[in-house]
Amino acid sequence: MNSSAEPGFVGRRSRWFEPAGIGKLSPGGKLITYFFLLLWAFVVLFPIYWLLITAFKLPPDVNNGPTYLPWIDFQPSLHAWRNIFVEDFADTFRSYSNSIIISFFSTILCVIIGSLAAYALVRIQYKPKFGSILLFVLSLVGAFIAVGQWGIDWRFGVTAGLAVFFLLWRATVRRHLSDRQMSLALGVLLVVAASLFFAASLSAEFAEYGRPGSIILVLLVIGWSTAHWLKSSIGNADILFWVISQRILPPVVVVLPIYIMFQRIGLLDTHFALILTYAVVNLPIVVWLMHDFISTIPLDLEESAQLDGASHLQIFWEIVLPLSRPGLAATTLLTLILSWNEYLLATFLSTTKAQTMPLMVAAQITQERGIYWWNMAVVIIIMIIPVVAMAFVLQRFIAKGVLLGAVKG
Amino acid sequence: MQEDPKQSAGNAKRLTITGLNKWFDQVHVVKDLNIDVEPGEFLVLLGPSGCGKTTALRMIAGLEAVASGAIVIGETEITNLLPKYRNIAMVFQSYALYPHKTVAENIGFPFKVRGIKGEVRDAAVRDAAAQVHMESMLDRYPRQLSGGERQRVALARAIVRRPDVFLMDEPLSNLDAKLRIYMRAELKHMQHELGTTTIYVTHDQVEAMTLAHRVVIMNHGELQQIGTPLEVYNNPSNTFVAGFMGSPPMNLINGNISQGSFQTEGMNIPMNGKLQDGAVVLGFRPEDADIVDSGQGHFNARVFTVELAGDYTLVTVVFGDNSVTVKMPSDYDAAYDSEAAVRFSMEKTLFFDAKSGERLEMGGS
Repeated sequence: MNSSAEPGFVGRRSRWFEPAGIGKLSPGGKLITYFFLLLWAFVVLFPIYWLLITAFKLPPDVNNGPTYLPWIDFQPSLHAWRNIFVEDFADTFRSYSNSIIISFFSTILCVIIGSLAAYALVRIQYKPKFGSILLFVLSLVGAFIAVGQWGIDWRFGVTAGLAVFFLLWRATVRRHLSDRQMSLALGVLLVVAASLFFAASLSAEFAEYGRPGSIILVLLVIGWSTAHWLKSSIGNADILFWVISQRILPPVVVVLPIYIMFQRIGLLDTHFALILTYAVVNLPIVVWLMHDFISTIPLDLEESAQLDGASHLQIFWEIVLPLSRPGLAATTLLTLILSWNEYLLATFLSTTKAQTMPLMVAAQITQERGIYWWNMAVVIIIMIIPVVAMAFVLQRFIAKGVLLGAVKG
Repeated sequence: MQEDPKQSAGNAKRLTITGLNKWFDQVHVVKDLNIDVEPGEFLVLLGPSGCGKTTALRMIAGLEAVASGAIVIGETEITNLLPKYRNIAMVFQSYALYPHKTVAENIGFPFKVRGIKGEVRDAAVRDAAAQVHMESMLDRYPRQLSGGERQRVALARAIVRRPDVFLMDEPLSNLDAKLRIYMRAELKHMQHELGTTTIYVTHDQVEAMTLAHRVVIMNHGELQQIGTPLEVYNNPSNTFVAGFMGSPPMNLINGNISQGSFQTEGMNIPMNGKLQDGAVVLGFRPEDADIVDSGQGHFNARVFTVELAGDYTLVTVVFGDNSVTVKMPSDYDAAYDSEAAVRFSMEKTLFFDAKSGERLEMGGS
């Protein structure tokens, strides 16, 4: 009743931290906000400024201590630009076009496959049997061993591996053994193992019978757990997590196996190898992001399209893709930047023919003459330009509100 | 008042549902549903949420698989057909307009996916738009439309390809009250004009009463009663239907029949007809009763609330554990907690079996 007398409720704080009105910042708050904004702007913009001036410096300007202001500290020169665009033109042009081709096609491939996969994971409930997955992995491992160890042609090896998988899959996972058959087989094996152990413990004469007994027991445990796996199945959430988990592994762990794989099939230093590898490496990110975007599209729209007579592909093309356009644009941009900047895999998979821009940046670090900072700055500048342009183009699509008016009354 | 559906049926198709069942895991959501929809009929599936009415509709649409049973349109069995081959149009509760397409593109979408373009499509789109009075807004996007206009576009998209059957899943429930009454009338008029067999799902019994040629009342996945609105209102087949139809619904009082009279605490009413002795439920509609002075009616009660609703007043009285609502003229007033009595028409009173809830027919007196 006399809450106005309570100083805690009505007492004003100092004017510095009192907002001028609703939805406005207090003077003190404004000061702090702008201080951090300016600080951050400096952190972001200074390297770009440094890059720009370095590109116009002569080696002595770089080597004899820092210089900051063109025309005052040092005389700008086109020396580095001449190095990159005239003397090394063939090299620059090849790296540049390689980078464009590789990142463009790997992004296209990755976004198409990834968004289709994400759509399927949102709309279709999968229940793969654990046994099928295990069989598939084992068949592929067998194929890889055959290719790696015995020098079988890889196309033949993979085909045979897949064939083995399908045969085994049809024979085991699809047709369950009945519980009675299972327990009968288990019982017989247990009795055999027990009698072997019993014989081994009776006299030294049968001592070697212990080993087959243990083998049978181990097989029983494996068989039992396999049978259990065969029956259990995993769901969409597990599949999605498995896809994302591929990014937990640092690429440096798998780069050697990937290198050996491409070496075996003779595709090192080709566009194809890099396009394929980048597409695969970026796939988890695309699936993960697109999964989120696609699941915001109301199911009603797709059901309505079904009744209107559209096929699955028509629904994807006419409804899902246009409605996930902001997500698609953001994902495409991200994938493009990731492939554009990728360095580690490129060092292993390419040497000269398929050399990309990041490798050219690194090539400015030489053993005998040190680092060519001025050349490096020029290469980095021309490397940044297309990404900035793409960001401007795609930004228009990353607008909110495409779903407005879909289902709300 | 209700027109005969057969009159408006030109080339309308009959829809027959026999022995339809559906399980969601262990839950039996639709239990052995049998409905025969006349050509051109406006049939309303009515029931509380979770009664299986929407699932039944989605099975007819082909959006849910059928566990067992058959669905036949005209002579064609469609039980396991993909939705796109069924020639059924559906209006969703959410309208489900494609937000990135204009009104014209939305209405023309069924033609587009079939590869029909040009003048054929444009003419059909214009016709359908004219039918729902949207011809001036063909270039707008759904986000630029009001709720009622979106509803019209959704209707136009359904009628544009002249389907065999219309399905409507609570199409009016997202509209505000005034618009809903207006659209209800339009919808009924349009269905009459087109003469297309229509199945309409709702939980609103007023909508069901006003729109339907026949009403199907469902509860727990089971069909409770099927009949014209008047039949289900006047002759509910069980206590569920009695308690669901009408606003406010029928008053139901538990009691016993013994020695030819209905007895419960504070009540002892001689019966006109004959019923077996046993536990029964007595039911009468609020409009078939009157509030009278204490001691003058069938039972005495205490006034709980008096609610004026415009052209009538609802009076709720309590006695024992029961509460009874009575419709009185709008000039009626009574003090809260005052003593009163209720008199109701014994001719219009219905009796139900207390255990099964089924209606009990009165034997001859």
